[in-house]
Amino acid sequence: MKRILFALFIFLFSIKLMHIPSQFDFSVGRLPVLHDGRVKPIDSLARHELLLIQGRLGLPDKSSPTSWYFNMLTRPGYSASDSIILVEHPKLFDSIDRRYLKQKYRISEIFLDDNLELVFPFIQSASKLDKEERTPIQQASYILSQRYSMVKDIRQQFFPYYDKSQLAFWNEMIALSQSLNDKNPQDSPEFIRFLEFYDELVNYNSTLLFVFDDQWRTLTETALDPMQQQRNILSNYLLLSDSFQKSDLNNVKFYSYKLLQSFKAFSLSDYLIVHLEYFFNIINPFIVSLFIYFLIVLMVFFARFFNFASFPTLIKDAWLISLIFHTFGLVARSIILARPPVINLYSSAIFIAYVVSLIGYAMYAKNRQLFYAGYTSVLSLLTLIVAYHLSLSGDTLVVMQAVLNSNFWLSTHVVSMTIGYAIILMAGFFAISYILMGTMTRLLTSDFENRLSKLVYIFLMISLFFNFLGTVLGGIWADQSWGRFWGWDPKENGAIMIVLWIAIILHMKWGKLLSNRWLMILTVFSNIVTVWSWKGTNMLGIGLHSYGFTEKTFYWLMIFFVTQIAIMVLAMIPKHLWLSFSNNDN
Amino acid sequence: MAKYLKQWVRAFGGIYLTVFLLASLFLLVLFATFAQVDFGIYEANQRYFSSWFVWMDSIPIFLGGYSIGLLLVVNLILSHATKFKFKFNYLGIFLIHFGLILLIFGSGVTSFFGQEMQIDIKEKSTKSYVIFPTLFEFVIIDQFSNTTKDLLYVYSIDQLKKGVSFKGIEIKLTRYYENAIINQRGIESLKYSQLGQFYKLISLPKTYKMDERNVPGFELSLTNNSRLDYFIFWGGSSIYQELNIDGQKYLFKLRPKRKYLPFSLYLKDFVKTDYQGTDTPQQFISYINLNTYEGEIPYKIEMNHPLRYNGYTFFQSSFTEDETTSVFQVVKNPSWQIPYLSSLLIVIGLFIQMIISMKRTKP
Repeated sequence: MKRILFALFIFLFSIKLMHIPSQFDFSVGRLPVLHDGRVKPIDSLARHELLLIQGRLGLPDKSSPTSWYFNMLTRPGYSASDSIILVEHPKLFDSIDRRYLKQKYRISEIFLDDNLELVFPFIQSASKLDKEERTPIQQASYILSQRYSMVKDIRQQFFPYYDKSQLAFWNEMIALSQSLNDKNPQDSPEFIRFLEFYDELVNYNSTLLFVFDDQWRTLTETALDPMQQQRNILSNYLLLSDSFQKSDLNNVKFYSYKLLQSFKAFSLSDYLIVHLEYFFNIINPFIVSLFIYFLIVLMVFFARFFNFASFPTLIKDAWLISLIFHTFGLVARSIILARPPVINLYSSAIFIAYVVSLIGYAMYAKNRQLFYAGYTSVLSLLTLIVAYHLSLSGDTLVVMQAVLNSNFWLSTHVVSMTIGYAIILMAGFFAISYILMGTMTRLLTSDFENRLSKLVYIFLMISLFFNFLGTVLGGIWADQSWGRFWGWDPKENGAIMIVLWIAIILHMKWGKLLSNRWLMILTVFSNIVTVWSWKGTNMLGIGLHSYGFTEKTFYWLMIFFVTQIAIMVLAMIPKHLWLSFSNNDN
Repeated sequence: MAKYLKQWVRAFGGIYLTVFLLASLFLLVLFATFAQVDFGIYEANQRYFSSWFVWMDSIPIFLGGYSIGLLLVVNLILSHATKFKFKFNYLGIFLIHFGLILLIFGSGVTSFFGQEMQIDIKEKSTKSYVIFPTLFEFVIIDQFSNTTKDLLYVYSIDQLKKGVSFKGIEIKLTRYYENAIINQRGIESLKYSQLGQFYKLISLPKTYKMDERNVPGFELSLTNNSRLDYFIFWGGSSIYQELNIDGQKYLFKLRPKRKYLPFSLYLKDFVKTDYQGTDTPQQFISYINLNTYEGEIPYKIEMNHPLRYNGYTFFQSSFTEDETTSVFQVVKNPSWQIPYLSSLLIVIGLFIQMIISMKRTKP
């Protein structure tokens, strides 16, 4: 009974975290577009663009990304006065108003229409430089100009307006062109008017590809097609736009259904994948499992210190539910991209959290030690938070560059590397719990101490295997692609440093040069080595693995390194001063 | 004597040396990574890994990759000779260590004997030589005295620095820039002949960037009896300058070092496909014909699918902007199979060792 109630609680809790769509959103959000080399629902594109423009998903008026995006496409001047464009430097507009003198704030499109010229000099000088050579103010202005033009671009993706209606524009233009066919005098007022319409359409900067029967084209491209083969479908898009403007739900449903049906007839597999992605966006699986891990941490705390007897079972249930979400997310991503689960930094973080959680669950299910639950969920939680921050940089489902376009190597090399990272992080966090429990609590019994050091040893062995395997597979891939097995690229250096560090620890242990305490201290250092190899090496901006880095990453990386060193220093205080060992004297 | 020898063997096969060497290698890799930011990957690797010591000015400050590799091999062999007895429990360790010795040996061979070259071929054309993109050579070509084949006289820059004699002419290098460009002179120079009359060399700082390379230029003095001529040469120039000796014409030029292949490549077609609606390339493919003594072999080279022939491996590496010229990285590495074999041994060894330790240490 308790378990059922608890499951219900988690269910309601998860619903709260999901993005449940309104009826409007559900109709238009699933419409397919071809963007960045991939067919995706408009909903994904809306999220992606909004993240790039705003730096977050939540809008000031609480509307959903889809509804914002579709309104931008179809309503002239929509949201132009909302403060949604992110500025990341305090010195850009502080001359206008002192309240802009802060690191991060958002301004409206109208504001920029009037004031962007203030930062023109920075934008111009920045565009001549490489990213690394720009000053912060140049970079901030440059990014701002990109965000501004993204907003302007979105407004040009659908169709021009006549009398505030896109359909009216099209009807008027057709009517004009037909009146021309009858008489055809070159300088009649109709012809001049037609030319005005034609020019506006031609100059419309639409790049977003929509589906028309069996082709991907922009709306204007279709409109200008002399054969006019897809006129009906174009009309459907414009009718949809008009009904959306009028908030006419029935017609929005009707026309989007029609468009989706024609897409389904064109490619059933793409149709299903777009729906899977839409479903994935709604479920929001990684955020849901992030919060469930957080819940588990709380429950472990209560179970440990307040002795709630039923909690250990409930923790297992919650964990299972979280794993289901996590698995669904990973599988859905793999199906959508037709790729193995790890393709970039973001997905590697998700995957590390998954491996950690899976191993932890197996350990917990076996002997119900609360320690495993607490420890594993903290680690998974942290990695998912890292992943969440990485996801803020835009679309995480991306197509692969030609050199990386190989599923076999991606799935073997990258996946085993990532498993190696996950396991060595687990060893490192075992060591951290050893040190924290030993120095600050009385919980570290000698029995538990032995168990922890054995765990650390085994996890080091396993991660040595996976790290070495992954590194070697990477070498083989490099040999197949560039003719060199090993090139001392920074990422390769990072990988070999992990292997070397583990080898050092293990040899010292075998040579009996290490006490338990020093085993733990050196293992904590492996966290630094791992995170350096995983993220730090990408920051250097050189070599073949330098994908994606933001200044914020550097900041967090430093904080992480400092905490690890602090823990190592903490462990170096003499053992008789540790809280867990001090009572032996009494 | 034997006692001391034993002590030495013990020290060189000992665990302390192992840990010291692993830690040194760890630090070396770390320092090299940082050096790569300043010097680029190639230069940093030369200084840190392909060297016996890491030098700061003329003082050796750290063990280089060669020293550590050699010492590790010595350490491994001696420790197995003195300490390890063959037991089943040690099978994994034996495999790992034997694999490591092989791996270090193989990378040594690659470092000393491996060659990295490049070839670019225009569509519908044939080429039978590869170039070394970082090395340059000075050539004098006799196209005219022999009707069937050009005669080539090749000099390295070091030879020119010392001065060489060609058919009675003394050739000496008078000025040398490691990295330079040429630019048109404002006023014709009367000192130089041919190219140098209208163009001058401008020295540039040596570059370490990944996407740039150093193109050398130099000035030569040619003394024929009492006549003195000055010429300038630039590695990036496509012009052959002419030289007259006793009425006999020769061509000479500074160019990237070439290596002629015993076969030739004909590029039929180069195809680049993008993901629809983007500029992100999805695949590059070069359709080539290999012209050999045995006849013509058609072949398709694409990303992740190189062509291996006659000890050479051709990898799709790049292309020109107009997509009509395909660029291949060419590698000749006599020990390319060794890493495969040694890694396999190590991976099997690690797996065995992992299973054994999981069975033995039950938490």
